[in-house]
Amino acid sequence: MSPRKAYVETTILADALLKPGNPKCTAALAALKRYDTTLLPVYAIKEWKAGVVKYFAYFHEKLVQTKSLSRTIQVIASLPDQYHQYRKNTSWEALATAVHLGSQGRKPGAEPSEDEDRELADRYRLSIAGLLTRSWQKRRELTTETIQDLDCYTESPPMLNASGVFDLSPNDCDSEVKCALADALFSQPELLTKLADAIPESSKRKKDVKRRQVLRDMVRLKNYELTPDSCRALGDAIFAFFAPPDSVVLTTNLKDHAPLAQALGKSAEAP
Amino acid sequence: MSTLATQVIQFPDVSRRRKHVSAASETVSETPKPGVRTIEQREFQFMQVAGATALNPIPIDVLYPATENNRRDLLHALQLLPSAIHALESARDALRANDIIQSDHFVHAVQMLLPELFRCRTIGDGFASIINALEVSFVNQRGAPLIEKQILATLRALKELRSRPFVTFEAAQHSIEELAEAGLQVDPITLGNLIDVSP
Repeated sequence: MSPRKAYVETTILADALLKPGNPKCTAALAALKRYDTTLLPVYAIKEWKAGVVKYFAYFHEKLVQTKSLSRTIQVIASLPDQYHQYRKNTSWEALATAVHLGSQGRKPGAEPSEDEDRELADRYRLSIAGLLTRSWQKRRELTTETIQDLDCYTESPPMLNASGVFDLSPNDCDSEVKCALADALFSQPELLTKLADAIPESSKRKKDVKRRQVLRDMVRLKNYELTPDSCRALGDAIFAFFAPPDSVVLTTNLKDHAPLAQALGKSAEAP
Repeated sequence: MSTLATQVIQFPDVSRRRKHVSAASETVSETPKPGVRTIEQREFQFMQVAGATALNPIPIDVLYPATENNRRDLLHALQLLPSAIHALESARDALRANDIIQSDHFVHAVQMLLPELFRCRTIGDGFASIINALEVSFVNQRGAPLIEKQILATLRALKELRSRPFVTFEAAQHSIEELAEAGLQVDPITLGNLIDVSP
């Protein structure tokens, strides 16, 4: 039996590093141990930072700004539908209980005092900042190898600025530098077509429509140049394309990744 | 002089005169001049420094760059930390004597000090991060007693805070990582629920 090799996708990175104590974290870490070799492409780090890290940084910023956990929860809950990732049904009580034993005696639904609310905001502000800082330091230790460095992308850590909020720049590739993945992608147009075909025409999801369009344009248009925006749109297709043939794409999102991987004769596995 | 001495700290704006108090008798060996205000006379009686033998202790506000805002919190934290450290040392000793219940009792005493220590968070985000991580860890223990390596990691973290209360946020993360490596769950379990990254 040949050694098992996993090509690690962004959702695994997010679960393993940013869901401490959560069953999803346990599952992700256990899944990584199933393989002899685990490969983390830098593209996953880029997606992770521009996605879930950015969401956490936003929550953190609201805590800094409002100095109130209850107001932060209200702000997050009132975001429009497009920010569904933020709109978690999280109660103040549940958050309070998780960080401070003293709050367990509160009556459910009781209004927190200003001091209590501010203290909780500080606790979550510090917890999120600490988690982001430590998870960034651990990102390259999670797998046996980190591969496919991107010359066009600077892997800068999230930094707390003078205002106490995270500066995540750069979130995208440097548009002045040629896309590090472009040559490999453009050299195999038949694979790009297969990937585009694997995205159901019936899907009206914005990300599917855009990904299919970029893939088709890359084949159809001469002198097409990948921009930071189109690079981001390719997303899941990048993993199917660049996963080594003897590896599986390890992801929690089989729904999107499995058809893309299968289109190129590869496979995807969930934790 | 007793090996267990007590430092009485003076503010630099009033006097640089130093004095020592024997811990055993708590008698002042040198009486302050009239009009000289010491911290003892203002809000904090004095702080005990176990094992201190220095004949010329350095005023605490010279050692640490406290501002007017966080001076009170700093001094209060430096009063609380030795108690927490002493309790943890007792917990460690009890565990080594195979008395888990007594050990857990001392750990619980430390846990009770943490909310008050967190209220001293004007000292800085590094200090506050470590105290918060410890408190979260205890919550996540759900009453389970700490094992020895967890007690030792906690002890190290608190001793470091006593030595360097103005630890930077970044340096504090190393201490927190050591707590995690000892098996403590330093992050609130709710963090993973704040945001859903599912497709």
